[in-house]
This record gives sequence, structure tokens and C-alpha cells, in this order.
Amino acid sequence: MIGDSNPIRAAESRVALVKGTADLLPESFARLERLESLLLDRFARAGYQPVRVPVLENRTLHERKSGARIVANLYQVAGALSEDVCLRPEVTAGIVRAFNDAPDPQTLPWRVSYAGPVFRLQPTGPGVLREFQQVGVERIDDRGDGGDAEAIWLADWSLAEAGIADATIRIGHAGLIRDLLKWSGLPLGVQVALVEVLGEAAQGGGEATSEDRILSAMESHLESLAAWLGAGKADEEADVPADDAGVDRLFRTLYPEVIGRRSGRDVIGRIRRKWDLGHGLSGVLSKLRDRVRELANLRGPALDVLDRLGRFEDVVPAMSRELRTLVDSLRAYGIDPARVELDLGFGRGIGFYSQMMFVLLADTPGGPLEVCGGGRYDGLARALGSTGDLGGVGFAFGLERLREILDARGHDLKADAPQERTLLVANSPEAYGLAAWLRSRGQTVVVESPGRDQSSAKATSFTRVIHVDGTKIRVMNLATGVEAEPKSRDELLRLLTPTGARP
Amino acid sequence: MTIDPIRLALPSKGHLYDGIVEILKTAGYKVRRASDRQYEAVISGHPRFHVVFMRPTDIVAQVNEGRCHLGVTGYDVFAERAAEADQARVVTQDLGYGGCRLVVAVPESWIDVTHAMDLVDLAAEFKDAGKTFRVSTKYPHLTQDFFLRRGIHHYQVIDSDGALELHPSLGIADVIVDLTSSGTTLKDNRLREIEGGTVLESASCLIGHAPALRAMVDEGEAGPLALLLDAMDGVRASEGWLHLEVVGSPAEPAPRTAEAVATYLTEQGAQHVARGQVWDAEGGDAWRVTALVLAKRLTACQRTLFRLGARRVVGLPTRFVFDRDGESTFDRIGREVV
Repeated sequence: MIGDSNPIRAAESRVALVKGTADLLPESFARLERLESLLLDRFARAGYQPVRVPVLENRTLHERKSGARIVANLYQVAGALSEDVCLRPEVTAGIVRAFNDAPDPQTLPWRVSYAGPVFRLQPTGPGVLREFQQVGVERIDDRGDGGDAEAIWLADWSLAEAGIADATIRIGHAGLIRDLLKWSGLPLGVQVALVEVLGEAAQGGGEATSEDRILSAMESHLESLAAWLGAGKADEEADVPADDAGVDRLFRTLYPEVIGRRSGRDVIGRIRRKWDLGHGLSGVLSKLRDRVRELANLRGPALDVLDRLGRFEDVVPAMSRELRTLVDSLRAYGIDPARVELDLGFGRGIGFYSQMMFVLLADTPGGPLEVCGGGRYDGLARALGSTGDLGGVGFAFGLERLREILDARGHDLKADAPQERTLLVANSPEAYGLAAWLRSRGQTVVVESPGRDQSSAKATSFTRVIHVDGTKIRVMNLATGVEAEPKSRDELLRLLTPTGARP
Repeated sequence: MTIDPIRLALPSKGHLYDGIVEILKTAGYKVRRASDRQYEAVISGHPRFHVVFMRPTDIVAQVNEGRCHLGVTGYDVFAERAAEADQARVVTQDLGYGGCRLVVAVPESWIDVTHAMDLVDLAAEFKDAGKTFRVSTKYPHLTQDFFLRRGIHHYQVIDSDGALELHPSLGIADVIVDLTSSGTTLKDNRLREIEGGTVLESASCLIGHAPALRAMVDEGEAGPLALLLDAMDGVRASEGWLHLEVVGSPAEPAPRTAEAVATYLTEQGAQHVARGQVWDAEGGDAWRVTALVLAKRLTACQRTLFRLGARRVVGLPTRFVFDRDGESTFDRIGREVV
């Protein structure tokens, strides 16, 4: 006999939820949507208009500027016609691309808001998803004045409107470390890598403080740099004679066949550069280490740090001015300076942001949690192909994270007034036409077959029940128990208007 | 909830299979497998254990899913899948065999690339030249993590199961990240390691399904997990050591001669050195020193021991060594999973 002898078929194994994703059933979806709508509404009040950009983007878009951690966690789309397609890990790059691609020039400043899913292939854990919702804004402009303060204020005000009015605003600046590294003379690739390593350490977890992690990462990286240059120097002193022709001859003798995609010329060229670098950087690394240590200590209440910033003013006078202006502007917006901290070491996103960057931290019973992050990314538009010298600033809320924090603080947005919902019990096909007619006039109508009693209808949040039997219509208000038999569709529609004890 | 049978997944063949079967046998858990082609086995005298054989990569998945409760695989195989295997825990990271390293290897003609930091610089150079730096590996996650921690993100991973050592010469990749133990295969293919280029140190390891481990820990010190892990601890601690017994009659007063022998043995790296007075067959004064010595050191010591006054030196193979102050894997796992 073919098949199962048991007439009751065995259940198939369940198809599990993809790791790092979450279902939003009606109640939790409604809460999240209320939060999203509130944020988008507050963004709109400041002139930010909603846009939507694709979830699928070219991998190159994110490789160019999204930061090492984000790029390392990209979801590649398998089986796509182009192997370079990925699910977006954040929205900013897509929006800047959309700005560049817009058929008509957009009026500056270009203020837009967005909401949608982003995807990161990261280790999951409590509060860490791989698909999550971001709601945020971007402002693209050819001038920077006022944009930073507007972004920070808007993020803080929107958060207050959602129920968290006492967030700490932590502001950093990527300019200082970038300038210091430029001064060090390290190759650009090595500078970028160091910035990424420090940003990664700032973002990492564990028991150590962010400052300790950063310093430890820096020590380790600088040690590697010293070993690298030291090792290189020793080799070259032994193997590389001074005259160029001699070097080439020696190399060709030692390695008559060079495998791989690099030529002997590439190898020799780079070994000369490395030799120069090893000698040129003597002593620079220890100075760099000292300056970076000083920077890591530049954190605390805004006014206090601005005072201590004096010793760096000769190095980066523009940055010092910018920060003072920013703190003054936030005060003018009504933000208490006691809620503002400056952290001029490093922080989240120094690989991505070019200057100001900020996070909002909300207190929870389990300690402060980051609920929103943003900053200025001048140069991104150009990096993505724009010919204009445009800057940008923006921020994003992690919607699930915000909801968790609101839950932890015992706060929830008020639900809208319950919607009037009508259950139409259909005895005949005519009922379908009536349901369609009512829906086209703004009513919420659900059609069911006979058999659902009034108590179960009430339990599933219906407010009225309509029974249709041929041409006869009977409607009952489940809250009051009042019944009526309208003679026409128009009379039925009037009865469905939710006032008083009308059914 | 008592787990019965306890399903133990072992590699079906190769050195990972040979090593664990030997350890289990020494520990008193002889795996009885009818033939190499049979994928199930039992353990003599331990009916609660049910052994299944599969590929090392499948072992991680099956232990994570809880279909198998314990498993032996390569640590490299586990670490590559650790982010997805959130229900699998490492019980013993190094079982003492199958050691190897996951390393970055570059063409030997790249004499300008001597250190992992060179990769940072080189990847940036490739990008500036409009090229993508390519890395071939069977371990894309570990590779990405290694590169990420060094701030390198302009590169492309070529995920391949083939003979990676050929990739640089064929132009498929610029460097490879692959396992090596002696480095001979890399050298034969004109590749070499670089300083700071070790991605992972690996060996065979024992992993367990976290909820199953909790259930087995609940069975206490007389439960099957405690007995198995204690036995394996004892075997691993005894590996390479001989139990040494040195006896002699005193040419000088016994305590002084025994002391000289004990001091000498301690200087030679012996452990658990103890000495005491004994009597020979005729009832005359004699002494005895016992110790654990590395097997490879014993033959170099025996002549000196005779000169110091020893009459007989016996080295006995050890099977188990338990040290009160040594770490117990069962106790540690108990703390971790509860």
C-alpha cells in the first residue's frame, strides 16, 4: 500500500521564523505603527517630507561609505541576476543616492523623512534583531549652518513627544581624530582602518567601558603598526640595496616567477614606499598615542568639556567654534545644557560621519540605552557620484528599540479611539454587494457566514452586527443592545453613524 | 527531564574520528562500531550513550538543533558557525589533538607583505587602483571578523571549498585564509604566512546542546555527563606523563638521599613529587620517591638517579590523573549553563 496507513496524517514539521526577525501581530503592530506615525508627524512639522527608497540596493553603495561594521554585516541577495545586490543595512546612503538620481534638481535644503526595514547579518540576542525598523530624517544642503542643531533638537523633541523627555544628548566629533591621523602621515588606507577599528571598539559590547575598549583597541592597533613598520624596515635594510636597478635585479633573481595579480614592479614599488614610511614615521606613533589618549579623556558635561577643549584649539579651531555654536543653538531651542554631554574621543559611527555625531540615551531600569543616533556626513553625496559639494545631516530611531525602552519605563502611547467595526452576517450573495457599498462609504465591514453569535462578535471587537436575509436588513448595536430594521441602504448608513444609542 | 539516550555525534572518519575514539577508549568508553560504513554505534558498559557518525559541519548543526546532545568537531568548524549556533556550547575547546591554525597566506614573492597591517594598506591600494582585493576561504565569517577587527572592508570574499592554495596563482584571489599545521602545503604552493596573520588556533573540541547540558548537569556528580567529562579530564591530564617510582637503600642516611633525588626530579619538571621511608625484603632501611614525569624526559634522567643512590627506576604508564586543584570540566560547564 502506498502512503501512510494511518488515516490521520502526521503533521509536517513547522517552518521556523528566520533567525533575527520578529512577527508583529495586530496589537504589537498597532503600537509600533502609532510610534512610527507620531515620529513621522513630528518630522513633518519641521518640514521633513516622507520618501521611500528601495530595500534592494547595490552593494557598492554601502561599501563606499556605510562603515566597516555595517558593510561586514551586509545581507547579500543570493541568486540575484547581479551578485552585487544587497538588502539595505541603513537608509541614508539610499536617500543620498536618490537625491543624486533625482531627474530634477531638488530645492536646498532638501529635507526628507523615511520609515522602513533595514537588515544586518549580526549576532542576535536580547533586543538585537537582524531585520528591524528605522525611522529617521536626512537634510541635504550646500551649507551646514543650523543643520546640526536642527537635527539634534528634532530628534530630542520627537523622543519627548513619544514619552521620553529626559534623554541625555551625547555629542561627538569625528573631525579631531581625522585631523590628528592626517597629521601623523600614515597612509590613507591605514588611517581609515584605524578610524574603523576605534569606531568598532566604541560600539562593541562587554563589561569594559567604551573608553577602555577604545584605548585598548588603539594600543593594540598602534602596536601592530609599530611591528609592521619595524618588521618591514628590518627586512628591507637587509635585502634592499640603495640603487633601484639593483633592487629590481635582485628581486627578479630571487623570484623569477611572480604569482598572483600583482607584478614585480608593484611589489618593488610598494616596498620602497614602506621603507620611506618606516623611516619617516619614527617617533610619530608614540606622539599619536599620547594625543589620542588625551582625546579619549575629553568627555563629560558640555560646558565643562568646552572649557577643556582649549588645548586643541590650535589644532582644530573650526571644530571648537562649531561645538560652541552648536551648544548655544541647542540652548536657544530650549534644551537644558545639563542634558548635553560632549565626547570628543570617539563614538558610534566615526567611520561613517565626517564631523558632528550624536546619540540620544534614555534611562531604563537596566541602565542607559541608545535610542537614536545620527550625525553629519559631508562628502557622502560626492562619494556616491554627485558633482556638487553637498553636505548632509540626519538621524534614525530604531523603532523596536524605542518601543522596548518605552516598555521598560512603563510608558505607552495612547491608543486611538476604537474604530467602529461592523460584522455583516451574510445569508445570501446580496450581502456581498451591501458590504461593498458600505465600505465605499467609509464603513469598516467584515463579512462572515451565519453561525457567529453576538457575544463572540463582541469579543472580537465588533461594535455592530448586520443580518441580511433576502431584502430584509436587521442591525444591532452590540454595546447597547438596540436593534433597528432600516428600509433602505441610505437609512442603514445613517444608522451606522456612531452617535448616541443608534445601532 | 532525563535525557535517554544521550546522543553523541562523532566525526565519521579521518583524524578527528581516530583521536576521539582513542580518548574515549582510554577513558573507559569503548565505541563499538560494526564497520566503517555503519553510522551508529554503542559504547560498551554505558548503555545511555548512543553514538552517531556524521560530517563535522553537520555535527555543529545537529547539536545546535538538539537532535544530538554532545558532539566532537573541529573548533574551526564550530567557530565559523558560532553566530548561528546559539544553542551550542563549547564544553572542551581543545581535546588535545587535531591542532591547526587558520592563517592568512600570501604569495611568497610578495616580499613587501610581511605583517597583517600590510593587508590594510594593500586593500586600500587595490581600491585606489579600481581593483577589488580578493580573499579565498572556506571560512567567510571568521575571515570577515578578522578583517573587520583590523578595519579592512574593501575586499571580496571568494567562498570556496576547492584547493585554495591554487587560487593566487590562477588569479582567482590575491590571498587565501586556510588551515595549516606545518605550513608545508603552503610552501609547496609558493605561499607563506605573515606576522599577525593567524585568524584562529584550532583543535578538536567537544560541544553540547545547552538545554541538554543543563538537564545532564542536573543529574549531578554521579550522572553520565559528570562521569564522562571526569574520565576525559583524567585521560587528558595523564597524557604524556609516566608515574615514576625510584627506590634505593641508603648509602647515607635515607632522608638525605631521597631528598636529593626529589630535588633533582623537581628540577627536571616532575610533578607531584613525594618521598618516604620503606623497608626492603630483609627489613632493611630503604626509601622511595614517586612523581609524574614527562615520558620523553625519563631516559635522560635515569643515569643521574642511579648516581644519586637509586637502585631501581620504574616508569609506569598513567591512564588517569586527577588533581584536586585542577579544573573540572563538569564543574565549569555546570556554572556556565545553570
